[in-house]
Amino acid sequence: MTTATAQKVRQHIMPRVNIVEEPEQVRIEAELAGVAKDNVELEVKDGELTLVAHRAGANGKGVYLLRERNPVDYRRVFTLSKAIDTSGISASMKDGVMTITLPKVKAYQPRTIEVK
Amino acid sequence: MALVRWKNSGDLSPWSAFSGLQDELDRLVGDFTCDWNALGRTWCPAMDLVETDDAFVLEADLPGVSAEALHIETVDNTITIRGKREYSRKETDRNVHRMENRYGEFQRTFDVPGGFDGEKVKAELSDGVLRVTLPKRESAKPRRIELSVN
Repeated sequence: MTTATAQKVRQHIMPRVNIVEEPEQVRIEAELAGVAKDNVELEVKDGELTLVAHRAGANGKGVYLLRERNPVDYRRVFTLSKAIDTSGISASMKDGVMTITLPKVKAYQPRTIEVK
Repeated sequence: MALVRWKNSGDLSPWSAFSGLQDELDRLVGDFTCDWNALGRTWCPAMDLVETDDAFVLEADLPGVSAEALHIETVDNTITIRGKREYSRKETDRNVHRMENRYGEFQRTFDVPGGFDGEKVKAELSDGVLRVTLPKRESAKPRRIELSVN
């Protein structure tokens, strides 16, 4: 009966995302306000993309007159279809929004056939 | 809405329960600080307002909102934050599988208790978080009174 004290349950919140498909890639846009670039982890494993991020709480001292923002652990798992080229996944952050670009493998990109 | 310090009152009089109830009702009904009606359908970004000895600090989660799309205005003891997050559809967008991000206009107004020095308000935006520092007026800062002993 010693395990209960050692385990700390961490609550994760799913960040809001847009998932948009383009002809040659899929774009995921995740709202991660207040998350520094170093506090985000993206992992591709077994056909899944996992996004884990942490937002620190306020470090300042003072009296809260209004409190709606809290420290948050974000986590969301995306199942990748076989159309995604996992080696080409890239990500960037701007204004608290992370954009993940997932390129499609050539076979799943649209091809225009020329009529002779 | 007037912001009042969150009470953790040590008042033991029989009437204190009623004043607390009034506060609870105000919080539930009257004083949601988002101006929903002013702009039609909007979103309400989460904000913190913290009071320190020499300033009030307002922080807001505004993912995807650029500095150009933000408008901050102070009048007397109130501060209004207004902004807009535009949805820009890319030419190449084909299928939208999920659309959870929030777009549109928002506006929130706060009545800061005791006021602030409007000339010295500073605002900065980083990682999608807006931070507005509202320094207190000299007269509103806590002052230590020296005791002279004769």
